[in-house]
Amino acid sequence: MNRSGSHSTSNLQKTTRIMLTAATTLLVLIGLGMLVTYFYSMTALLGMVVIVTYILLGPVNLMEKGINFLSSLTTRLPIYGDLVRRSPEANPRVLAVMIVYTAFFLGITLGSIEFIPVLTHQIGEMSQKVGVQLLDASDQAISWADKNIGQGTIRNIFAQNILEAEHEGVLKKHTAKGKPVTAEERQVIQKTVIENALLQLENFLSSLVPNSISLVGGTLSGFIYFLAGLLLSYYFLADGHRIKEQLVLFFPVKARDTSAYLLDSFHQVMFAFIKGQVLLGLLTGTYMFVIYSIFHVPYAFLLGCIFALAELLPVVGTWIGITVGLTVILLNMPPITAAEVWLCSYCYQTIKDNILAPKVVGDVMGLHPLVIILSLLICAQVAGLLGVLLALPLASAVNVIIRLLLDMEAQEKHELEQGQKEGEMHVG
Amino acid sequence: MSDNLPHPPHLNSHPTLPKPGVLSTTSKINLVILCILLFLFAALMLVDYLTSIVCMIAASLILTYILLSAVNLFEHWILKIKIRDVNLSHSLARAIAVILVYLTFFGTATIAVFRVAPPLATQVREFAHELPDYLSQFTPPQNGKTANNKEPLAELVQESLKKSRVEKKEGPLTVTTQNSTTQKISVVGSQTKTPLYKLAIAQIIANYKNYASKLGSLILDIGSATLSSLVYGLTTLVLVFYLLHDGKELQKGMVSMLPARHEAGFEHFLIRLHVQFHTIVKGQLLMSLLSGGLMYILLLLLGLKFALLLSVFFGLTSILPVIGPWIGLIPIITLLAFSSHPLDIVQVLIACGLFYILKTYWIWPKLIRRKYDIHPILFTLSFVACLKLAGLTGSILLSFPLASVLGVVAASVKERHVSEEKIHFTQDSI
Repeated sequence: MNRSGSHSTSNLQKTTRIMLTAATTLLVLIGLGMLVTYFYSMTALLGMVVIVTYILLGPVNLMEKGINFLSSLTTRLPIYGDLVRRSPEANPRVLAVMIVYTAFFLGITLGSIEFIPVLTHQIGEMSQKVGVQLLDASDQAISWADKNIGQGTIRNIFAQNILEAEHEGVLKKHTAKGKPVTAEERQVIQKTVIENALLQLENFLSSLVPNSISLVGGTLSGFIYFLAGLLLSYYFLADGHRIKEQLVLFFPVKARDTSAYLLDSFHQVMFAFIKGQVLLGLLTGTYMFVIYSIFHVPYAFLLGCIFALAELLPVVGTWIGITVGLTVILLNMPPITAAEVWLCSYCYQTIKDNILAPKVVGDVMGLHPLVIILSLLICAQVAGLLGVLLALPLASAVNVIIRLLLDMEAQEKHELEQGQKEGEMHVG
Repeated sequence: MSDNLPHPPHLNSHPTLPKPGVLSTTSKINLVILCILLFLFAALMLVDYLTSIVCMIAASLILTYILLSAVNLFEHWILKIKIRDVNLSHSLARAIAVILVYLTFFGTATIAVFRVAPPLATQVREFAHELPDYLSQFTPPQNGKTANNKEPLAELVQESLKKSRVEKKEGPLTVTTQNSTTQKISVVGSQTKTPLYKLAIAQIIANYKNYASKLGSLILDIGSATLSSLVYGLTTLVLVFYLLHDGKELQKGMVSMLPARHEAGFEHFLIRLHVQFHTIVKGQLLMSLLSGGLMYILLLLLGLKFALLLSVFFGLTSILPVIGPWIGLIPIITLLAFSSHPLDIVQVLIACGLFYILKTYWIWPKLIRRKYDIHPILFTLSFVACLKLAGLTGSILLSFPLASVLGVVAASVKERHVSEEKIHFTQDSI
């Protein structure tokens, strides 16, 4: 057998191997995608459950420690201690989860009773102000167009494009050029513009929330999903560590170490990420609220809340938060205030990104910002807001898997080469 | 798999050399995942195509296990009867037992329907009548305007715009002065809170009416007994009869259809499934009866209207494990929240907690003696999956058969791996 022949055979095999690997990987991705699409509501529910579970995991762990400490004190008490020792099935973890759950939902209820009036009030006020400013701006724009471009241009544009049937008559009466826009027409045009803008805003907002989970309609299946979510996150919190052990048992003996490693790293990535994002979000929201209050920015509370929520999104969150804040400031206050607020925010962000974030989130991610933005885009396309929230941990999970697979391939190749060397020695 | 494919020739001449894997590790793992996905898709398509039949089979399985204990008991009694010193044959005894159980069960059910149905129906009618009134207590009188389908945000901003336009006409500077802003705050504050709230309640009432009409048509469907539902019902009864009569033979037949080396394992699996299913149905029925009865007493003590209706609903939903009792609690809590003593909710919740503790630590170990192989998470997930797959009725019927099959499969897979591990370990030690 000549050398070139064997070379070409192994070459062909290499290509086939690569093609097969690529093809099967793609097929797996497509299949998983189809499964997720089919069970979209369930996947969205699971995503929510994972987020809530990891948010509450830290407090539950803390509470469990506290209960264990307390019970170690109380077992020495005469009657109570006897009772505790007699019921070995009573689980401190379950008690901790119950306490944290109750506290969490009570907190949410009380918080919404306390803050929602303030928030709706501020939202209403702000939207009114924005509306007035929009009106002013459109007034100016129409006058400017009448003066500089030609009388009635704007009217013609609107009459041709977007108007509702009921207003069509008003505008079509004067389609003749050369006449300025009348007050009535102006009103119609402004109304159309604002309605369209609002419609788009609402479409955008509703696209953020997965439909099947929105409980606004109070539908039966919505209730059931909500209940299922509550129960699932309760059981995940109470039984999480056991679930991992049980899951590992599913895999064949050979793959157990690997699967345990994978599950562990997913858990760590998720925990660190969600804990970190929530802590940083709270901190940033509070800080920005204080800053806004110091500079007497209107709607400080609302803007702080928006900032805290936006901060939950990695990388892009800060930009969204500061853009909203600066827009409001520029609309209401002199530009110098905007510059000052931005400076304060910038200093804080620098400290946060370089000192706080690595401490809180840790170095589990190790992803390049480009990868982060790409994964955010993909996940947003697939699952909306929920996808954006979960994009980073998912990306780092994929990262872990790819690294593991590369390691395995490298090991295999190494073994193969060793074998070939031995074979050649044998031939020699 | 790698044996069938050609190897590089220079390696072929030395049998001691390790053969290069034709498939890379990644593609091997991928193929396994692909096979699982393919199986899942095929199963999904099949269930999707045959939803009604699958639901029927699930319903007959559930009914079988409901009646199973009674049939066994009756058979035991009948076998004791001797006619001219000769015992009845097992098959005949079993058939008689099944027929007797059928007669008793459906007789009792009919009597129960005639006894309980009239008061229940009155309560249902009253309930359906009064619920919108309860809710509309919270709706301000001019709800005709909110009922039309305008988006809350758009309406809100439009209203506030109208206001600001009026103010602008009055004076050019009113918008920016401090005084008018505070006035506007109060205006907007009252404006913003009501529309959203009104709209939500109007939506709930509309949804409720929609459901009520759907429920009405459903009852009408069942009542008019269309041909297909009659066929399904009769088939279910026949299926249940044969399942009760020939259950053991069926199991043997299924086992014998497999290759010999898998027979023992499959039989073990089926027995385990049977035990699991029996435990679940028995336990859940018992618990639903108990909790429904206790809830009735509690609601009577609290003096709530519709106590019978609510506790029957609670008992029925409690048959579903994990998620059921919570669904049953929803109307009770809603009604209590709108009643004159909203704090009674706490009492109901405490009673439920006490019952849960009693059930877990005392009733369950004493009466059922056996735990489920199904983790609550598995059950909830399969319920949600069935909700997507087959709707609400389908998920009620399918979820716990599915969950128990999955649970038992998982348990046997785990056990097989454990035994493999033992073999592995002993080989290593040798």
